[in-house]
Amino acid sequence: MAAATLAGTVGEAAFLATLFLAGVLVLALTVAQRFIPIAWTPLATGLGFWLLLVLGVVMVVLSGTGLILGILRIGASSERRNAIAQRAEELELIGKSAAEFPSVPQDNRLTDSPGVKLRYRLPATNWAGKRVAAAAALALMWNAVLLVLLVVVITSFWSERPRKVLLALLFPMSGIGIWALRHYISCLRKTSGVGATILEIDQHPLRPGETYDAYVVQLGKMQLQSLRVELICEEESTFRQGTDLRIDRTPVISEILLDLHNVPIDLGRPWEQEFRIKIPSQAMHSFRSPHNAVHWKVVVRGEADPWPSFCQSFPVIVQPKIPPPKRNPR
Amino acid sequence: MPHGDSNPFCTRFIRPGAIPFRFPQDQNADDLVQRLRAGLRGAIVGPHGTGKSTLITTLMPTLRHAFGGRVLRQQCSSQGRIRLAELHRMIARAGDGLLVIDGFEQLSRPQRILFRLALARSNCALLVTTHQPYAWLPVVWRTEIEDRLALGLTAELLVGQAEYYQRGMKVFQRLWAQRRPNLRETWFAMYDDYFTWSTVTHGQPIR
Amino acid sequence: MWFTEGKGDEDIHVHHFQRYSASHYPEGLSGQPQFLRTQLPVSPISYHGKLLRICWCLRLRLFIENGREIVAQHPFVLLPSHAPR
Repeated sequence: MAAATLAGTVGEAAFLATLFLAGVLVLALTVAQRFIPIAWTPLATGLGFWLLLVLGVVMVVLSGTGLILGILRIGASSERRNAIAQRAEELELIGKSAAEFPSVPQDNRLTDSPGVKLRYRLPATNWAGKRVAAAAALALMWNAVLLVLLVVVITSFWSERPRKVLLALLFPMSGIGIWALRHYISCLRKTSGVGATILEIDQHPLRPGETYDAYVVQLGKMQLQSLRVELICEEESTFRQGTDLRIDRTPVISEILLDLHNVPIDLGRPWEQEFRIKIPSQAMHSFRSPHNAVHWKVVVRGEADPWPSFCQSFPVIVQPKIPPPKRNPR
Repeated sequence: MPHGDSNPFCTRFIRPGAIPFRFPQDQNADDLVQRLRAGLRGAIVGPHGTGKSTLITTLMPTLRHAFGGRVLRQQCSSQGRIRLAELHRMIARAGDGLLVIDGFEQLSRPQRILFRLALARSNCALLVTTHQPYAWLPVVWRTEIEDRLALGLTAELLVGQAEYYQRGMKVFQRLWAQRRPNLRETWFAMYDDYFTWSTVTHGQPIR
Repeated sequence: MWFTEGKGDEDIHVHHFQRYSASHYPEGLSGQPQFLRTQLPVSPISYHGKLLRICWCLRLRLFIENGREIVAQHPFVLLPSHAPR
């Protein structure tokens, strides 16, 4: 992601957050002036009141929607954004097994998106926006409550019945509010700076003993200290430990496909690399039963500067090799 | 008892009920059931992995006999928390029988209060397993595993594993010292050790 | 049928089930070989992993008159179709 784009993303988010908080303030003041009897003349339920109310609601709704859509856009291509609506977790992503291959998960949703260079763009299981969404929710909700309390304090002073305890509480609460906003902006900068990881593959599902072309793209503006692409086969077991349910996972095949150091990602020019994926010929196929599973995935890990390390996981399905067709007796 | 080339600590051999509960010499299942019948409420109390679920599984035939077959068992777990309405239905279904709840501490405090109120209006007896006692539920058994019993049960699991036996018992003692009194957790750690040993010794590849 | 074995809770799947009722064999089953035919699926193949094993077997459950049961099990390996035998 170019610096200009990054600045744009953060600027847009800051503007929307300010608009949201201003909307909350307008709403709180309007409602207070109308319904809290104080020194000022109560606002009549006329055109002015309704205009201010509508203005406040519009500001909150528009900026809130803008923020949500902005967070959804983080680290996602347009195809992926479209797929986000359908996709939740890896479990749902992989779906149920087809009749042809019992106990092998189906791959329908993995091949939803066409690739630019190769046939399929694989969806990732980690969504970078989760952390930003949580930080945004915390910052905005905390500061919205803070603004409402501020209005209550102002009206109390106005009506000559000052709420001094509440005023005193507002100072530490404002400190937390400023910290929450700064944390949100920092999360947004980090997530937007690292950018999306895109993985494309020429065929899917995969089969043991076969080799596939793949293509990885990393967006963002950073100097990657290291970048590693790994093919991982992982076993997963769910077991009840007394009244606790535990999940144990262990990788049984871990093959490094790419291991690069000091990779610069230039402004506006994503880093891209073609590579090959070979599934070992004796490898186990993907498997899922109620308490046990064998998963295959391609994992892209990067250590970036100045951003934090990132790790994106792209599940793939390995099917058993299809039996050779029976010979025609003729 | 484990057999063949199976890992002797796999769930099949160590799950609750796979190894019957061992009562101390001077106690048996009937004593416990008698205490329960006297008060119609009871709790089996003990930390994680000390055999509460195993004890319940072992008791089930005796409980069925004592309560005329009307025994309902409910497992509560940290995931998929049970709804209160479901417990109400179970109280109704149990009638004047027995309701067994494994993992009673998994219910939230309000759920436990509401459940207790519902139970007070019924003729249903109650037996629960829990990590800590509750004032309104008399403790009918405390599960604890003495070192000698833990070693004995592990030795039983390792019958037929002549090559691994010595190492297994030595590793068990070390792991048990770290995880005591959670025998189940210790056996899960033993699962990993057995796998490592069999891979190194027999070169058993993952296939 | 196949079943899983390992650290996780067990899963089983019966691929083919056949019941031999005593009424079909008024003279009893002892000593008479019975033939069973089924087409095995492509998956899951037999697997020996760290947390998980997938074991295929033929399981025979005999219900004897006085309520007793005898269970016998014969394991076999299901290989991927391309694997050398």
